[in-house]
Amino acid sequence: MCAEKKLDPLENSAYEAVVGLEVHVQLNTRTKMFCRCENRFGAEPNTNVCPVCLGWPGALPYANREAIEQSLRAVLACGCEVGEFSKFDRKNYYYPDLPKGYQISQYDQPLGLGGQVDFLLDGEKAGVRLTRIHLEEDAGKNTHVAGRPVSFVDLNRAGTPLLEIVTEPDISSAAEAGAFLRNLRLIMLYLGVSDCNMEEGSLRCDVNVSIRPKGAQHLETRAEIKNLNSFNFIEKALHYEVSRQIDLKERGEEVVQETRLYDPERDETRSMRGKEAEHDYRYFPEPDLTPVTFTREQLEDIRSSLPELPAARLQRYTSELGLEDYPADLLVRDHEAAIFFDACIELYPKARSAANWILNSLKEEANSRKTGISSLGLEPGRFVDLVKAVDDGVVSSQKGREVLKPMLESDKPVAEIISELGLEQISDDSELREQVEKVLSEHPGPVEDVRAGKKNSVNFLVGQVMKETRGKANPGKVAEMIGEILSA
Amino acid sequence: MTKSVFDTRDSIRAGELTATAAAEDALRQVEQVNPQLDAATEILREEALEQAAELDRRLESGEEPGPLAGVPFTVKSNICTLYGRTTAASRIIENHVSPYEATAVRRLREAGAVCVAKTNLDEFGMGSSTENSSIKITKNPWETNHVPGGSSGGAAALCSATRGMLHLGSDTGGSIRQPAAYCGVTGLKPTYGRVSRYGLLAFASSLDQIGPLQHSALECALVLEAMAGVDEMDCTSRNVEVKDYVESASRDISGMRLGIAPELFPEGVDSEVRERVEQAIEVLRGLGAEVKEVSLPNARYANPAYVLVSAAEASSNLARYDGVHFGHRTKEAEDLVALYKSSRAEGFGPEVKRRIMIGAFVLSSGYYDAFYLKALKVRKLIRQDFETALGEVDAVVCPTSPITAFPIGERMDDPMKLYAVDVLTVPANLASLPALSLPCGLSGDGLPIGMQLYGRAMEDDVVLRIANAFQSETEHHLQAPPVNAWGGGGEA
Amino acid sequence: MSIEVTDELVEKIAVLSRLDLTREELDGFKEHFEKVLEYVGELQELETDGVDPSLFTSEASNVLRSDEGTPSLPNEVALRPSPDSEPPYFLVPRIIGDAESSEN
Ligand SMILES: [Zn+2]
Repeated sequence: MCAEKKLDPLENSAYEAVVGLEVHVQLNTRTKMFCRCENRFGAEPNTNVCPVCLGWPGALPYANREAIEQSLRAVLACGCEVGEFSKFDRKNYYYPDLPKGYQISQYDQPLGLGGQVDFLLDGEKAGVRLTRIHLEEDAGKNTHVAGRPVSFVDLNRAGTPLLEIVTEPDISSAAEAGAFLRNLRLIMLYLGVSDCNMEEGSLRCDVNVSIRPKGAQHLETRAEIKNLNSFNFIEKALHYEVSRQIDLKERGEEVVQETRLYDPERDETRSMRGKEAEHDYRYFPEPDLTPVTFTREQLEDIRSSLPELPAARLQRYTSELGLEDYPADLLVRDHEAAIFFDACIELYPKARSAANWILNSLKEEANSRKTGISSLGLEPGRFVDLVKAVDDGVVSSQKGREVLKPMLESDKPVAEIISELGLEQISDDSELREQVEKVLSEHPGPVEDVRAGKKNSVNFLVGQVMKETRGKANPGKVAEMIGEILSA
Repeated sequence: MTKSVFDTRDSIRAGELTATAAAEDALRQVEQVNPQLDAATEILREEALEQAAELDRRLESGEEPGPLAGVPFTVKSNICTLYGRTTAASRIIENHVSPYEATAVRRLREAGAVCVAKTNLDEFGMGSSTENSSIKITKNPWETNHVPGGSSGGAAALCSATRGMLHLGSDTGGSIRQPAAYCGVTGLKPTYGRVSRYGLLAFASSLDQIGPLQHSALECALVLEAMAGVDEMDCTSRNVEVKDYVESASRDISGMRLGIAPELFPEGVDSEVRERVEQAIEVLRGLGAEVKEVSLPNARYANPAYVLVSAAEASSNLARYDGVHFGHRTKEAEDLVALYKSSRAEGFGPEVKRRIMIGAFVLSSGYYDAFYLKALKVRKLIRQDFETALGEVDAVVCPTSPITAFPIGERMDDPMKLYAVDVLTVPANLASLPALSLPCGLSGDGLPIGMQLYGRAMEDDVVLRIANAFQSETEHHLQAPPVNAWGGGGEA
Repeated sequence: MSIEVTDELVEKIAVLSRLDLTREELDGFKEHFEKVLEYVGELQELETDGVDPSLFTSEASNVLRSDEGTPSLPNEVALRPSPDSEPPYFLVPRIIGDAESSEN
C-alpha cells in the first residue's frame, strides 16, 4: 500500500476525491435465493440450474429463509436500521445473464437503512456511513472468446443470493476505500455469511468517483467503475480514474456521468459505450413473493447472537488477554486464526503462548499447504496439548515444532507423538545432574573460565549438555545446575 | 354414453369401463367437434392412450390408481404439461414443450386423470373472445359465428360440446367465468392462493388463478378438491385446509344470505341478462336463501384499475420471452438489442404488444404514482368494499357478463370494447375472492346467460354450494348446444 | 395527470418494451393509448389520499423455504428449449462493452 501511495494523484493536488462504494457480497447459503439449486462456484456451466433460475415460463420464485437470516446478521452487524416490514421488488431490464428479464431485488424497503462501518486507517480511527443494505439475486455470467461474434451465457450464478451494501460518498482516497473494504470483508467473514473470495467473485465492488476542489462541499458529476474484483484493482482503478478526472478538469473538460470498466491489463478505465445509456428499471413489488416482517424480539435475538466483530475482538485481545498490539492485530485479520485462537484459550488460558504458536508455527503449516487454519482440520484441544507440553517443559520449544507436523498427519495424542519421537525433556533431576557433571569433567578449560567469571563459557557448557542429551534437556535448568555445581 | 365426470369415474372404478375406453371416448368427442369449434390446439391421442393403458394395467393388478383414475382432462395451453405443447397460443413459444409440469396438472395426473388435449386461448390469456389466439379462433358451440368468450374459450367450448371430462382454465380478469357464461357451462375462479400457480404461464401474477370449467358445480368441486392446497413451489399458495368440496357443496342453502349490489347490475347490462339473473335469484330465494341489498361503491373503478395493474405485471412477466433462453429468436439480428426487439415484435400478437406497452408506461419513472400506485390504492378500496359486503352476506350475486356471446370480429376493431365485457368479473381478481359462473338460461337468440357468485376468501365451498343448490333445482346446466359430441338435441 | 401522447413518448415505450414496431403499429398504439388513458382517467375522480396501496395480494407474509436443495437439471435439458446454444453454453450475439455480468 505504501508503494501505491507514492502514485496517489491527489498528493499535492488542488482536488479531493469523493468516493462511494457499492459492495456485492455473495451469501454462502447452501441453495440459491429463490430456487433449490446449489449455490456453488465452479460447477460445469449451466448445470446448477432449474426451471426457476432459468426463468422458464410458469416457474415461480420461493425465498430462502437462510439467506434472509444471513442478511439480517450482516445488516445488524453494520448498525443499520431494520424496518419491521421489508419486501422484494422487480428491477426490469434486459440482459442475457438475466433470464426473466427482471432481477428480484429490493427498492424502497430494503432490509437495512443507514449504518456505519468503523475501521483503522494508518492507526487512526475512521468510519464510512452506509446508505442501505439490500438483498437481491445475482445474475449469470457472460463470457467471450476473441475472434468470435458471440457471447456465451452461463446461468449457474443466476439467482444466487447477493447482498448489496451501498456507502455514502464518505471515502476520499484509495487507501481509505481499501481499509474500509478489508474491514467490511472481515465483518462478513466473522459473521460467517460469505467466504468473500474476490477471485471467485463472491466479493465485488463498484466504485462511484468524482472529484472536487479541496474543501468544497458540493458533489460533482461522478463516474461508476465496474468489474473490480481485487483490492489491488480497486486501488489502481481509483488512482487511474481520479487522475483521468483531474486531467479532464485541468483541460477545461467535463466529467461525464457514465459507467466505466476497469481493464487490469492496461490499468485503465474505459467507457462502456454498449450499455444502454438510459435506464428506467420500472421497479414494482414482486407479486410472486410475500413480504417479510420482523418483530423487535426476533431482531433482538439475532443481534444478541452476533459473533464478536473485529474491532471488539482486537480490544479484547489487547486489554483483556494482554496480547501486544501487533500479534493481536495479526490474529484479528485472519479470522480463521482468531477463531482457532479463541477456541484454544477456552481450553488453556495462556493467551500469549497460544497466540505465538498459532501465528508462528501453525500459520506456517497452513501457508505451506496454501490453505487456511481451519482447513488443517486440527482440533484446538490437541493443539493446546502441544502448547501446554512446551509451557510445562515436557518438550522444548524447538522440538515442539517437530511435533506439530505429525499431529497434522495423524490423530495420535500429542503425548504419544512426543514419546514416539523421543522428544521429552529430561525431567529427572538426578539424570540431568549426571549428564552435567559428565560434561564439566570433560571440559576443564571452560569450567575454569566460568570460575574466572566468563559468562560465555556457561553458554558453551550448556550447549554441550544439550548436545549430549540430543536437545531433550531444559537449557535454563542446565545453566542453573552448572551454576550450582561450580559455586559449591 | 356416460354423462358426468362422476359417471366416468364411477364406471371405471366399478370395472365397467376401462381407462382406455374412457380416453378413446373422450378423444372421439374432441375429434368430432374440433373441426367445427377449433377448441383444442392439440389432441394428444397417442400419449393419452399410453397413459390410459398404463392405468388399466395398474387397475387390473389391483393397485389404487387414485380418486380420478382414468378420467380424461384437458388443459389450457398456458399451463405446463409434460406432453403436448405449452404455447399460450403465442408465436413466441409456438413449439414450446415444457420440460416440467404445473402443480395443478401433476395433482390431477397423480389422482389418475389422463390429459387428452390442450385447449385454445387468447394469447397469454389476454382477451375475452379467444380471437387473440395466434393459432386459430375458437367458435361457440351454441352459435359458431359467435365467440366462445375468453381467454379460456377453448376449454369452455370443448366443455360445452362434450361430456365426462375435466377442463382446466385460468382466470386473470374473468377468463374462466366469462367463457363459461358464453358457452353455458359452470366455471370457478378459486380464491387467490387456493390452487398453485406453479406452471401457469404468468399474465398478471397477483390476479392469475387456475380453475375448472365443468357442466356442474359438483364437477367443479371434484376438480378443485384434487388440485387445491399449498404447494412448495408457489409461496403465494395458501396453507389452508382443503375441504371435501363435493360433500360441502352438496349441502342445502336455507338461511344463507345473498347480497345484491346495484353496482354489479350497471346500466350496460343487457335486459335479457338482467332478467334471467333476477329469475335465478328468485329460485335461490325459493331454496331458502335470504336476499338483501349490499353496496360496493368502488366496484365501478375495478376495470380501469384492472387494466393498469394487469398490464403492469404483464409487461414484466413477458420480459422473459426475449429470444435468448427459449422460444422464438429472429433470424436477422446484428446485435443483442436488435435480437430482443425483433424476436419480440415477430413473436407477440397485437393485443399482447399493446398490454406490454401500457404496462411499461404505467411503471415508468414519472408515471408510477399517477397510474400504478393509484390503481393499487383503488384495488385496496375495492377489497375493503367486498370485505364489508361479505361481512353482511355469505355471497354476492350478479351477472357474469353484461352481454351474451357476440359475433366473431364484432369487437376486434376496438380493444376498448373488449375490455368492457370484463367489468363484472375483474373485481373478484382484484379482491382475490372465489367467484363462480353458472348457466341460468338462454337469451331469445338461444345464447347462454351466466350468473355469477362471489364468496369470501377461502370459502370456495360456499359458492359451489349455492351453485349446486341451484343446479339441483334447475336444468339450465344440462342443456346441450347445437354442436355437441353425443348427438343430443335440446338436452343431454 | 394529463398526458400528451406524442410520437416520442410512444417510441420511448416501445424501446423500453424491446418491441421493434412499424410506423403503422406505433400509430395504432398511439390511438389505443389515448383511449386507455381516457378510460383510466376515471380513477382520478376517486379520492385516495391516505389509502394504503394493496401492494400484495395475499395477507400472508414470511412464506419462506428452508435452505435445502433438490437436484438441478442436466445441461442438455437446460439448453433444450434454447434457440441457440453451444453446449454447455447459451449463445447470443456478442455483447458490446465486454461486461461479464449485468450485476457486477
Ligand atoms: Zn434453480
